[in-house]
Amino acid sequence: MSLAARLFVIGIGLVLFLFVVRLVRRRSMGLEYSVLWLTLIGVAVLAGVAQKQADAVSRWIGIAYPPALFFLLCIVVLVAIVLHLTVRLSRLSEAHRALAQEIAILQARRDDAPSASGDERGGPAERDRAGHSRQETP
Amino acid sequence: MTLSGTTRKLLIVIPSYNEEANLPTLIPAIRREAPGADILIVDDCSKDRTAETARALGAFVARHPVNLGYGAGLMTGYKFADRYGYDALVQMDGDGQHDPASIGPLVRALEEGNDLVLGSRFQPGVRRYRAQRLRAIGMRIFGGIASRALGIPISDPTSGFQALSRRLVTFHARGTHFPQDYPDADILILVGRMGFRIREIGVTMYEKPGGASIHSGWKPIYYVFKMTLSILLVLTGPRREAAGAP
Repeated sequence: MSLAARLFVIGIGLVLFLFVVRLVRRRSMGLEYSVLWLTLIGVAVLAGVAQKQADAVSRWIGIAYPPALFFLLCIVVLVAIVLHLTVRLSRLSEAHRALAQEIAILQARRDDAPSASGDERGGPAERDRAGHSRQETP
Repeated sequence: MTLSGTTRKLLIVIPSYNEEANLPTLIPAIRREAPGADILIVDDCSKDRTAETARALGAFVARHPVNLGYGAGLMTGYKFADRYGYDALVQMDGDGQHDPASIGPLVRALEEGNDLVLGSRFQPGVRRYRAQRLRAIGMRIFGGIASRALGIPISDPTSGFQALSRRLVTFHARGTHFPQDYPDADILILVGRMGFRIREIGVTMYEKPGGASIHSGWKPIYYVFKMTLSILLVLTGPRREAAGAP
């Protein structure tokens, strides 16, 4: 690999590194994810710079075209990250849904609660039977 | 009337999105048909004055702070009923498709010892309902699968007009299985496999006044795929007697 190519790879790595650090600083990315990304960036830069060693590893595994190992690793790591994010997203939507429903239910109760009564246990149905708060339409 | 039997506290749950125009006819009609019941409007973050209208008509209103979907609206109703100890729950749509006159028959069928009474628009002896073709095909296929899995005839697995026992409401309210978008044959099969008793009866339904069906555009393809997957998951999942079965 030429010097220019190496500098190019290092440059890209550096920019990505700084970008991730900035995201963490601004709290736009959690620390746990930054570890994942920084590791990925580090490995990619290393594989680009230490080309001979990377090629040796490829041959040792038995990959005919050495750079393919690099692409393979990248794809595996990226798929793992995306899978992880999908799981997190599903959990977050579930939590988000439960919270929104809780707010709705609490709100329903607050709006209809008789102001004088401090009864915490009786729900709307209880109050109905006690004849408190509802107006029936004719 | 509806509250004649063992059902003392009945909750009518109506998941609503922009139903301001329909509620002033619907809520009084429900009051006439089910005088003792509480009505809960689950407002899924409507853009119109659904919540205010419902409140002015004397219904309970649970308003989602963000739009969550039809299934999530039902789930809010189940949680509400579970928390406040209702004996039974009837769910119906707020768009005027479901005739409140059918609430009585649904609750009576529930009181015969069933946990889920499904209001079908295809049972004989009720007003004929013409479904769109794609929708009809989907209902046929998944209704057929549900019928075979449950061992009872199911003609209308997508019906949103249902009555649920307290046991089943609790099962839904405290579980994590209920979908956020549209419950369908998959939930029916799950409920059956968990040992709850299901029955289908005929109800009166009117065609949707305008408005696009949920099964339009490219959605049928997604729908068929999702439902097939979901049913397979349910069929390969655990099977047990319902907790607290009598």
